[in-house]
Amino acid sequence: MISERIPPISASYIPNHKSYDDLQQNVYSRKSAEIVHKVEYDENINEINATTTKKTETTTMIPTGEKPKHVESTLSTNTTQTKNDSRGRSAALERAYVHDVYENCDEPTGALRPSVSQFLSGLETGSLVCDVGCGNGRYLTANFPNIIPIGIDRCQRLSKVAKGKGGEVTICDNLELPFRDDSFDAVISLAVVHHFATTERRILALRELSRILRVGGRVVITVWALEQRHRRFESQDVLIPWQPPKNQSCSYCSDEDDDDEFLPPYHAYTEDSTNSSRSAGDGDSSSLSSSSPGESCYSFVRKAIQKLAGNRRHPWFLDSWNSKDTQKDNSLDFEDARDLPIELRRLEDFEDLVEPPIASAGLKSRSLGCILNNNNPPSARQIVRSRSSVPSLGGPTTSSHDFKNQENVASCPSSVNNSSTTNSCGTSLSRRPKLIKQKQSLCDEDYQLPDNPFYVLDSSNSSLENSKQSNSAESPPNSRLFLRKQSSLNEELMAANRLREKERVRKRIQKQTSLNEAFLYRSVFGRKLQVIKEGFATKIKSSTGSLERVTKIGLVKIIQNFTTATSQTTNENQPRKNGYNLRHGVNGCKTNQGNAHKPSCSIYSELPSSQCNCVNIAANVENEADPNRRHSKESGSDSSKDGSLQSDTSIESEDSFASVIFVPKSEGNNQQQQQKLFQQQGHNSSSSNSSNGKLPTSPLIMPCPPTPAHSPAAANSVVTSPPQAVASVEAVKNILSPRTADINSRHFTFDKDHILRQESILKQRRENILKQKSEEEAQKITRQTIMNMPPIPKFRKQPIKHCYPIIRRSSTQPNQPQAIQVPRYMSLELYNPATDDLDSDSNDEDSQSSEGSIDSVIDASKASDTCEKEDDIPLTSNKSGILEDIIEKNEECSPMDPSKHKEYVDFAEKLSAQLLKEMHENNNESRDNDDQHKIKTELTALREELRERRLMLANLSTLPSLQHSPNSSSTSSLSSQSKSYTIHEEDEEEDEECSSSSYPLNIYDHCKVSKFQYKWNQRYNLNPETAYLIQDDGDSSVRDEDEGDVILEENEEEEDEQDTVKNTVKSNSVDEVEKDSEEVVEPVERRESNSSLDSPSQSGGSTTHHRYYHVFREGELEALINHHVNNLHIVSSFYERASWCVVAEKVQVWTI
Amino acid sequence: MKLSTYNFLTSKSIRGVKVGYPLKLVVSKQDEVEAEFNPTFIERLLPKLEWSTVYLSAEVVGLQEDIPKEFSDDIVSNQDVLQKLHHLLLEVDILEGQLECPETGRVFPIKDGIPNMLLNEDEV
Repeated sequence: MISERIPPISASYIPNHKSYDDLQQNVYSRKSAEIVHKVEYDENINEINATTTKKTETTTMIPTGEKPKHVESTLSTNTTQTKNDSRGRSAALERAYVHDVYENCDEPTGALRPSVSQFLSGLETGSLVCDVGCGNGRYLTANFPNIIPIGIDRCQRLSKVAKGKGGEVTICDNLELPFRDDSFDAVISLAVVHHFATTERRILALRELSRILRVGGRVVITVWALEQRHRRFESQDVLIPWQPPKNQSCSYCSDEDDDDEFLPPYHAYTEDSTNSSRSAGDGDSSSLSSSSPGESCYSFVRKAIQKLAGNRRHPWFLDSWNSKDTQKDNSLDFEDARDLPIELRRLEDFEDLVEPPIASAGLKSRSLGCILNNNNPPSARQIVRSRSSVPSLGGPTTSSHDFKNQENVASCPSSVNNSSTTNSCGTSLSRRPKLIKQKQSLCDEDYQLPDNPFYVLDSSNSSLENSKQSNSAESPPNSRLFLRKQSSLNEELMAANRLREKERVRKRIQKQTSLNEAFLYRSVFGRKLQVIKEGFATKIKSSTGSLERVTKIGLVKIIQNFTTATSQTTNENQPRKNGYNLRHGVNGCKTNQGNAHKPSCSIYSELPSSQCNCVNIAANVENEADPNRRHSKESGSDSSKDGSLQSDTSIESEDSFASVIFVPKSEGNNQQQQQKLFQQQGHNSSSSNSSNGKLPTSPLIMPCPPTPAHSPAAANSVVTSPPQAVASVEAVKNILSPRTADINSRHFTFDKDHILRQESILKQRRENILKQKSEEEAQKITRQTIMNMPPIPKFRKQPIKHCYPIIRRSSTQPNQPQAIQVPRYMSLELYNPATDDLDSDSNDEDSQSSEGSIDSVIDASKASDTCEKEDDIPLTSNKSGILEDIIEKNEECSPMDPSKHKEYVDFAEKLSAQLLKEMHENNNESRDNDDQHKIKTELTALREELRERRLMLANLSTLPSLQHSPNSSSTSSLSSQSKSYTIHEEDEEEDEECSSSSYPLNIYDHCKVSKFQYKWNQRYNLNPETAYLIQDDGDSSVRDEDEGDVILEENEEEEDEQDTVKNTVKSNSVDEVEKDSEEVVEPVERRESNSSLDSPSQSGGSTTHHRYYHVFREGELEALINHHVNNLHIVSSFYERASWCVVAEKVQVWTI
Repeated sequence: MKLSTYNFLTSKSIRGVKVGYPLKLVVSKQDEVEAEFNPTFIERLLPKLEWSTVYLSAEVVGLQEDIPKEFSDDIVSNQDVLQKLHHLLLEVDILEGQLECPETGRVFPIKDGIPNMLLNEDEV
């Protein structure tokens, strides 16, 4: 059976928890079944003795002491509550998906069913016929001169239609037919019984039919067949979309009329496809989530299903999924997701009355009630979690800073690989199974919170910035609430999709990690660094024009070359891997990290916009202040780092780039020359201090190197770094290395105060760095210090950038605690997630931040000079390579628009030019660029993943507006980006944001972003949202000059999104507003685009009405009649026009 | 609603109602529709009808003069009575009015010739 095939696949997605109530219901139902038989026996006896009409009463009998008890009565007595609940549920389902639909949809008039016509015409003259479910009265008004038809229907609208045709109609319910017993010579029930949601109700309906039928009278019952020529149903309970007008001509809307020939094949989906906006029983209506057939995730499932359903001539899934594919029926070629049936599971779990033929019991895994009730599908979520390689899954949800710190500490020990488990353990509190599956991504994000530092920082930042918090859905509870609201029947489907996506992400991450390792080994630092430097110089100064025009692709290639040329140490590889893992986790898993990132992003975005200036100022002042402030600065930097990580989405990209750049350098220094590392760190810190955006990067770098050393904890390192930071705290930071200490302190400090502190810390760091540089290595340091020194003032000059740097610092700081040497690697990891975030949401802000980061990076690079650059370059190259790989993968997955690519490329070039200029300012821009490229690539890859996810989500979820609203609440562009993503997208966005947050955000980014937006807007006349998207793309492209390919891809994706946004969203023209709106819009656009890609009808158009069907298996209806309706004797049963037709005769039952 | 239909309507589905028949008919607007007279129809229909209700409905619509108050086998052989029964049962259409449960007083409105016999969930 089809259903049997499907279960295994769906089982993975579907949480198999039966509530205790359900179990009880099952027990009751079994008992009731037994009782029913007895009752029937009693009834028979009574009938013998009975004299009046009650002989055949089956359904409406009221349980009175001795009188025969009906199943209902017995059941009700046994389990009144459960029965009521189940009844209420099923009734609600029928009301929503049957009654209301018929009230709102026209029933096409099709040809009369031949068998029925034959039956009616064969009746004796003057036969009184009751048409139960007459609909528009086709059979009432048909010319059957020999009968007196009386029609009944529940639908007032259709009843009027039938009455208008001259039919005799009564409005009533099949379960309560208002007729005397034994009244009619014939009863026809065409396409009615299959609308009852439970076996019990079906039985009652059949008994009611039998009741009004006179003995010797015949009843014709037709129900939709599970086995149809052109339709395949996975489960027996499905929601069939009301076909659009074009199909109505076929009259396939009418159940009765559904002829295989006429009707396009219905594709039964597993829970994946849920277009139903209504939840049956519960008021919480599920958003009209349209499944995106085009998504790759589904393809996997399809294949599996195909294998399972080897017998089926044609995998209906494929048809449904691939609307493009030419199906047998051309009419369905472009099936919308709406047109796809929705399968319901476990509708009748509580009903064991189901007859033997209904082997589907197993298939009917879920009842709507179960689905609705099960807000927490633990199994699915757990599976997802376990499957998701995202190390950061175990996210802490604790809002308190102390908890965050603790979590950070705990997370530090755990390796990246273990992070999933360790993080979960450490921050098990954070896990929130309550989240709906659709929101599982969000939940996952919460789980990912293990990257506690970020998350905590986010929270702290959010707390600091109340407005931001309120605006942004970043606050986990808010997001959760939204998610829950959105959660619906579709949630399960969503969860399944998410699982698939997670799996993909895992795969990608693994691939990336492997690639990264390879790149690290291969990377030739010197060559790459030189090339990059040259390129920047040429671009900026036009002295070396060759590199200037290097497209993103060229940059990517360069990076790759560097990576390949220079063999990086294993440590670097480890951190990179970690970073990738983190990214993957963020991207695919929608883990806590993603959540944390989102909040952080929002915070960051807010900060850069509003607070950034103040922070910058404070940072400047603090920088100049005494070294004592360093501690505070360190703490602040930690928080800022966290914030940066959190805010990664918007600003993340930039930060990530900067951080990445710094990290490789630091790593190289650590491995090769600790002194250099210190110097670099100092440079970084100095740069970061000087430029707020840069500072965060430096801390990121610092933490990164330690993480690489901790290879396992690399992913955690970003998050785990905090523990070290916690231990070291400010004092430790000061003593050991200002960077690490700063990081630690930063991690711990999440409040606004922390932010300020971070700024001060950054300043302190700069000072410390300078001191360290001078102390450690005068020679190498001299250059670096010199480099660092100048950049700092530059950054200070740029307030916006400063703000970003703070954030960056905070993000970077966590990495620092681990070890100065290692921190760079850590930063890389951090960057990776940031890149991920950047890819999706942070594009706008990211671009800005990236610019700032670039500047800061440049400073740092200047300080570190060639050695650092070389180190950084390999790392970056590796990352870039990985990113490229990811991008490639993404590209494969997501179709890109060539034209848009060009435009994006142009933008990217412009952005790159601007960046180059900035870089020139900071002589050592090349390093930064490399890092940035790597980050960009990563970000792009992440973005791609996010986009894909978004598409999936968009298809699935129709509630983007809700999600958007929370997201949109976040004022900053960063937050807006995260907001822009729809719920589904949000997960991705969160991940991206996280990654972006990890990246050091540059102040420049904002300016650049605005410019880019402007350009984009001008070019495309796009909505602000779209413009933002475009800008993001451009930023990313600019960042990753070498990574042009990746960026291009991202841009393309963004373009797609933008297009969608254009179509759907209408964002405000104001830049900030645009950002926010864009972010919000983006998700919509993405969704739309996805929907458009997947199914043309998903996004727009009128709401689709779904009708509930219980498709009958062969023999199921007969079994129902034989077992539960004693006084009906089946005369004949046959298959006609996609339906099972049963002709039964009412007989006098004599029981001895 | 034709009076032939009315003859079969009951409110026994209401919880607590044992018979629910006959429903009390109140007619505020009625119409007559042309229907082909087929004596066989009436002959076959008569056994299923509750004559007392037929007469009751005839009184409501003012046609009680056309039919005998008590049912007898003679009616079947009387073409004139069959004709009048045909008119009463199949041609008189109740457009507006209400039906009332004799036991609970539950009112079922008749609107546009369609009686709404739907019950609320708590009534079943």
